[in-house]
Amino acid sequence: MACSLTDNGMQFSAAIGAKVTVKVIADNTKLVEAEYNDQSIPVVNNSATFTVVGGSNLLWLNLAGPQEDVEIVEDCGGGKTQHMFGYTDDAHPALGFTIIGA
Amino acid sequence: MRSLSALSVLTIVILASAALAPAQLAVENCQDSRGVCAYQKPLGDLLQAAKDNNEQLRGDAIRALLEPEVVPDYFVLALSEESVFDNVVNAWERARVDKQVGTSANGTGTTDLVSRPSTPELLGVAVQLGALTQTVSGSTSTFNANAYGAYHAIVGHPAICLVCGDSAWKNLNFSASFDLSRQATKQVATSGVANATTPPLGMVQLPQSSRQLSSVTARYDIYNPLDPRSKEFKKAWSTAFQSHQKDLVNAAKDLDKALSDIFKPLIADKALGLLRDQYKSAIMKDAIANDVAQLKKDFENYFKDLSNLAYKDIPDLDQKLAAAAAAYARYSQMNYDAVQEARGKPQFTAEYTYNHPVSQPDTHDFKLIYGYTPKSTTGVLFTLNLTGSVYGGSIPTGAKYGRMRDFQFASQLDLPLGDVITHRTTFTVAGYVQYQFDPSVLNIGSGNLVPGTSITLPKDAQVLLGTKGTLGIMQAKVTVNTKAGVSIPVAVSWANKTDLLNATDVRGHIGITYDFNSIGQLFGH
Repeated sequence: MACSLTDNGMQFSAAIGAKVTVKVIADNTKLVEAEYNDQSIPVVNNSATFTVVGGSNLLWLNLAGPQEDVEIVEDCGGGKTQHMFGYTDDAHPALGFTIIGA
Repeated sequence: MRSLSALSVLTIVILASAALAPAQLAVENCQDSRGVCAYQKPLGDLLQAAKDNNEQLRGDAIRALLEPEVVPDYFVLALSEESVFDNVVNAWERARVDKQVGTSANGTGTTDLVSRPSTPELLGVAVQLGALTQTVSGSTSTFNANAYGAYHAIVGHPAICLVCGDSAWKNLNFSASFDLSRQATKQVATSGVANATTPPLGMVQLPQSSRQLSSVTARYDIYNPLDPRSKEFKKAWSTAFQSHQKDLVNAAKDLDKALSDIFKPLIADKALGLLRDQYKSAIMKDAIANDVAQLKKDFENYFKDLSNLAYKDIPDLDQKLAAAAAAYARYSQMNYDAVQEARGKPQFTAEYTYNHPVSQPDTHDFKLIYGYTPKSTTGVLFTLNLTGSVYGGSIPTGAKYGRMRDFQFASQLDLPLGDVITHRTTFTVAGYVQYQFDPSVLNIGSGNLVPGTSITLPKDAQVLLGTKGTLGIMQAKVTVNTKAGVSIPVAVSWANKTDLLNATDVRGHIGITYDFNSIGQLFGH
């Protein structure tokens, strides 16, 4: 399956109306809360799915857990993922991504 | 002289501990290089990624460095006044009832029958009046320092960091207590009388620098080792997360609102993209060339331009940064509590104390401290102490006492009166039992009279006083906590005897303790 987000090296863009599922991959770190365009989006199994709207909007992911390696990916379906961001041996309460809907 | 040398040794030990602390990416001055200071981790990651030619790590580091919303804690903490974060964290620190600031039960000048499991994160000072196991009351001043906190204070970093991970040095503490009421004299031979009317006088007592050091303590907090990959931790973390999830979600919503207020106007400004493009190639080039100095310079210039843009785009930015820092502190505190819970309780502390009591042999105390907060309560702390005490130095030939002085068992319940964070008063009840193998040993220095006679002792002597056996003490205490980190404990205790006298003893105790959590607080700003 094709991924919805296009990584331009700094920001991500997607077609308006595209469904995007982001996932937190870590030994322990949990996705506590996710917000896109000021709206809370449901969190299920460390993943959150939202529909892209027009313009530059913020996606916030709130994480809880110990210092460890964490990777944020787009879950493109069919076992395919796209790396969005990651860090090693660290802990961050919030990560933000600017998603450009066009 | 002795107290001075002990203080010097303590200072050297603290500084040596600090020098041995884990190496970090060097930061010269966080006031002048706030960007580099806050973004140390991704700058280090970028250098490592360039060295390893790791494209994904390099991309992540560049994102963290040049897109301020990706890891907003770097941005918020770089621009926030240190006092904003300190104030929120300090409110939590002040609310803790598990800190031991003063000296422990066996000295004079103590208000604490039981040693609590934690200590101040940076420095603690206590002045206490009274005594518990000792016959003679005294006044004692105690200075307490944490190895990690002291090192960070010296190099200008925040002493408390809830998301900075674990350092073994955070668990190492030192303290020294000085007896303020101790007096000493020295017997000196005269050169004869100065006039004919003065009766013959061979010896006089001269006041001398008193041996004021009463105890030195080193303590280490023992946690279960944190191995996030272990099955045990994963299971414990899942349980801890579920019990804190609701509070974390609420705190996360507040955090996201505070962050959106800052970053929405910033990402809407096209100048942000231009700024990124302007610096990206230079920063990448510096990293590939492993030119650390130039990388720091270029990044600091980028961050100055970024902060100028932020102040232009975001109305009331300082207020919004303060709100975000407060939201971060609340969220981080909850996450920290949940992780600590998953690491497992009980928390043990191992403590060694060298005691130098007045007119008694020195002792070495080895103590194990256990702290437990029942899950069904908020802020209540139950503490147990198990201690063995041995005499120091050589035991004289033919002594009627052995090396082992006593065993001690003590327990305490601390109950915050009111809200767990904002409570002003803590009520404490404690019990203490000591089994002493022999009567107490009292040193009598040469030149003193043999008790009940007019015979002057030609050399140092020792007598046994009091009785061997069980010493029991009960104590009730109220501690008033002020906003400035000052606490005033007031206590009353009953004992079936004291170390030297075999009679019941009811006594009052009062003290004042100060818990410095930040170097700014230490210097009053």
